[in-house]
Amino acid sequence: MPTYEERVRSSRMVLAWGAILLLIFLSGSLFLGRFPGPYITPLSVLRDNEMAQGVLVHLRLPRILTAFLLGMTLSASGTVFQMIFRNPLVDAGILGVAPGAAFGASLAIVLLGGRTATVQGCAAIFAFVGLAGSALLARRIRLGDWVLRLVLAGIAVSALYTSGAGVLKYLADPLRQLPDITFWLLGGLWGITWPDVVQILPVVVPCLTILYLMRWRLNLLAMEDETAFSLASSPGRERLVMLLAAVAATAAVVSKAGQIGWVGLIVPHITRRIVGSDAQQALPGAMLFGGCFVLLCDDVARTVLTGEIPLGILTSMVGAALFLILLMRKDLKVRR
Amino acid sequence: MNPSGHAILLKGISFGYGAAGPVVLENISMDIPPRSVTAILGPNGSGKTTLLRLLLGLLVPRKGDILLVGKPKDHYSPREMKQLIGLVPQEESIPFDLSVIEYVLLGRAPHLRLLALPKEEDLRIALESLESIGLAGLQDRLLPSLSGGERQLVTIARALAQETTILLMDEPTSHLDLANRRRVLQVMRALGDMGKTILFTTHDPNAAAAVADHAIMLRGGRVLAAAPVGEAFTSKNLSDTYGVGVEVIQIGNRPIVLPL
Repeated sequence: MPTYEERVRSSRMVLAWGAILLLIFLSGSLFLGRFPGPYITPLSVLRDNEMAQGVLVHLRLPRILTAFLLGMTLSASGTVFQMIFRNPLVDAGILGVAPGAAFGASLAIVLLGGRTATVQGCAAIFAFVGLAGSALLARRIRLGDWVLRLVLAGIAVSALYTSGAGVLKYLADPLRQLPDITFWLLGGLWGITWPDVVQILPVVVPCLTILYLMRWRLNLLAMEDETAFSLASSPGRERLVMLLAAVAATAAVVSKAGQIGWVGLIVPHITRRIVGSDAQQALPGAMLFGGCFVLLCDDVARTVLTGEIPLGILTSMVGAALFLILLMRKDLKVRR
Repeated sequence: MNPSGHAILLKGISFGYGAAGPVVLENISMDIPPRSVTAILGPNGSGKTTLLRLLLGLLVPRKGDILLVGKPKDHYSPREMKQLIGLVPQEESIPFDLSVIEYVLLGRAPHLRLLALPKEEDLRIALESLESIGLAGLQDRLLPSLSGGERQLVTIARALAQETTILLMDEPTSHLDLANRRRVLQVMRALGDMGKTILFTTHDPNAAAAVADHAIMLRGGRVLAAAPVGEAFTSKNLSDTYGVGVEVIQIGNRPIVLPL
């Protein structure tokens, strides 16, 4: 049985290895792609072929960075949602955050002309409205404690958004708009260039920094209301700050990448298995592993086939498989 | 520091949920001396837990004053309140597998700044808290692997790491078997003897008789009796509190309560 110090030390080691792994993945990904030849781009080609250099600098690099940020953000916010709602089975899908973003994007595509900025703006606005709606409804629900009320409200808000998106799909022009919506709902990073990175960085970096700095507090905020109140000066306000940071960062990356499922659910689970449940290690761990996971999935998405595989489909496939493996492991403790 | 000689003083406290909700507590006054163990007794729904939540600041009374260690409650900042009063909740479910020491370390939160991580010093205090109630070997076990009694003691250790003068405990023995119940009661008595002011709720008069110096009996949101245990534990008081006939017999110098 390792002592606390040993656990902290070994988690730090794991995190350090994770960081190294991430650097290897990040630099390795630069050499993967389908131009000029499929799969691996050799150094000699990069040296001589100006076009290949351009592809690397203007397309691959921003895309790789975005994939990494996307994975970090979804996993960090998944960890935050799971801990604050004391529910290991929630992610941005609960609370109406991701469904809100999806509805907002569909709305922009069908009714507002579908310009990129409009789609992104609408996605972000409706993700926030999803959170606010869930929180306000939760105050009115007369069943259970704060956490359960918020989850119930989130489920209702998500269902409303999903049916709303269904109506929009029904209304959409099947030739011009429906493919756009479908593509966006499947999720992917095919169109990412430097301006996209520049647009999400100012949101994602401060939000993730807030979450990282408050990581130990997250343990407190995951306690029941009474205990959290007896330990933290204003747990309500601290929970709100962390939730807002998580939603803002999620909306920013989702508005560029579309719906990327399962990352926010599965990565925090796997991370807790590896470094333990203390958020002091679990949150940075989830960021690192989430970054690696989405980066790898996106490498596969853009390299393996001539056409692009939607990233959301890949993450869902791998995520669901990992999830089942995790749930069926014999050493899993079954608790009430 | 505290010339008035009380740890907790309530003056005419009334409380009800919302502005027009039914009254849960009515005109409650009590004086809890420092370094004592006080039991709040009463049947389910008599307002015991509500009283603890008022002291904690989780609920605000409609009327009346709460003084803590000589000062009105409003004079303490939220952070000072958390350094003054610790809580051991009735039964805490923790959805993630924290280790015992990670959990006990949470008690250090009121002594840490908002973005600070626990330091060596905090780890030392947390380990000492575990040691002081005889759990030194458990620090690296995961919480779900503990027995009910051990979990209750670990929760007490977390509240001890908070280094507060006042400890509130909500039904600390209600879900424990006999051996664990005894163990928790012994720890509570030892903490009282070490100088903590302990206020705990219970619906079990024998648990109260085993450790408490003072007893406060509630029924329907009013105080029926408040006195040292020896005086408060009369058949009449207990019968009135619980609404059933009760006989009190003495074994040694401890009253034992038997429902008729």
